[in-house]
Amino acid sequence: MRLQTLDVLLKSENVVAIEGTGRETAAAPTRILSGWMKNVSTLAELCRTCNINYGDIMEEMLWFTNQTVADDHLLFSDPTELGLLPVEQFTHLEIRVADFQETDVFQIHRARSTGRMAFRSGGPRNDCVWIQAGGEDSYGDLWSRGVAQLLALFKIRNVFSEAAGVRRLALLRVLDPINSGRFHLTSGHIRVGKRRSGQEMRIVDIGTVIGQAHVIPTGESQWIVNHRIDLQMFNEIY
Amino acid sequence: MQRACGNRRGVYEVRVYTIYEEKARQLESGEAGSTWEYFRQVGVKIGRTIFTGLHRVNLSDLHNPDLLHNIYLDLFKHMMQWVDGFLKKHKPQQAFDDVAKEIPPNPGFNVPQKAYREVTQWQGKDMGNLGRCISAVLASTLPNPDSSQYHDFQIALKCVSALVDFSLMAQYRSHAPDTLSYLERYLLTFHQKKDNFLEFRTSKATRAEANHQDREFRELIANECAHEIRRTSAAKLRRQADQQRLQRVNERADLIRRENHFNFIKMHYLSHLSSHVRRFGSISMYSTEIGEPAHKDQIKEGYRRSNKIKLPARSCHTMAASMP
Repeated sequence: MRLQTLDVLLKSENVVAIEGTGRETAAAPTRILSGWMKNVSTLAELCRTCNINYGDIMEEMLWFTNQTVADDHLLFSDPTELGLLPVEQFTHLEIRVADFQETDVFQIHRARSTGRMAFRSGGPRNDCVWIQAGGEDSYGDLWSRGVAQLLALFKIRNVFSEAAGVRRLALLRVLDPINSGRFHLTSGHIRVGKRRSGQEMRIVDIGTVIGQAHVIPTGESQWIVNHRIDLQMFNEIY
Repeated sequence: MQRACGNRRGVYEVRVYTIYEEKARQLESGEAGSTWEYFRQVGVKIGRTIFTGLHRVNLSDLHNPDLLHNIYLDLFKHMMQWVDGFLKKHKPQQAFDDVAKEIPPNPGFNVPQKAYREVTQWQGKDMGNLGRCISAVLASTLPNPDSSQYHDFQIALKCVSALVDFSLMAQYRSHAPDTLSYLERYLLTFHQKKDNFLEFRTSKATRAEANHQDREFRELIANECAHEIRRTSAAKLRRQADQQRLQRVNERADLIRRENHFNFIKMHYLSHLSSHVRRFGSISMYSTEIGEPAHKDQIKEGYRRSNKIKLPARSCHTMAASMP
């Protein structure tokens, strides 16, 4: 990171001081799911609209639940319940990102995931996003940011348990950084590619998505990360 | 105070202003001598201007850097001409267009609707947009260059990236010594690598001169050959023709390399940006990028809404009404 103002760094803690009271409060929600889709009420229907194998998504849901949710807040107690839980699908995720070197100005990144549906009389649109991944030293020059393609955005509610509540989730195809996320010597860019081994898809909480990524396809199953797309990215990745 | 000045190749040397001041004093005190000649040689015009004698006014400070006209509409435009020439030489123009068409959208970034070669007129905003993705698009166009292209491609990419990085760094709203050193380093990299594009900076006059030289050379060869043709075998003639063609191409390349240069004012002006930030603050404050769209709201909108009578007053009224 080359330069940030002190105000911006304070803001990254997601805490805003209330003037005159000396108290602090959490900032407004920074992720909003929008664009509710009709005709999707279960995981099976979600799989059909996104053209994803039902078995894969079940496996991912199990992994996500075991990894992230505490025992008393489990999304489901029995995996067979999962298929019965109500699901709502959305077409875009609004992410509030602080503008570069500004304290009170925010940009709204609208990451779209339309599945197989066309976006504005064009083809389907499934954007690439930045996800928070690992510690600061992981992913090389990407500084603990991973690139992933949105496959579906959905909300799932556990009707059998009050404690579990509602989870807002994103189904992603994770792209692996090539050369451990270091800059490519010839082109001076970081490249990402399709995962060759291990699980390609991941389900994450929408809070893990930190912004919209700009990647340009190159070659076969590879993308160039365009870190010059805005000043924020340019300042952080170099 | 020290400033930089460029020679024909754009290698910037330090210009010492104290010498000018001393020479100007000599001129005022009547010891003209060779002073006029000296100023003529260094390219400085001496004489009274409208600003002469004004308190605390320094002529060299009057020009403010402008991101829109200096970088987007001028340097980026030049850069794209070089890139175009470079792509034409190495023949991946179609690949460049294909990649440019597939650029995904991003907040604050207008996705180009047409291929690069289909666009006839570029506005400042379009150029700014192009600058934000040109480096990645170029890298994607040339993913696996062969050994003969590798060096050229690498240098071209570094040069383009350095200029784009410089323009992005110049947009920072506040600077620290580190960021200014980055700004200077990017500019230095750009100057070090830009010679790769020198052959695409050919002016019409240089091209005409090269053609003229080419024609003269051909005529000379034709005259020489006319005397020898009867006594020489066909194989030897072919060998001679090949050698002559090579010589002609080399001479043309030499001439173009000798005559082409990067010595134009906006290229030179980049070297003043870091010192401008140190003295007057961030460059984006002075950019006309903000003022030009404001003209639309303040004047054009008022004109459109008015009954075209007493226009200045009507425009002012509309503007005042729209203010919070």
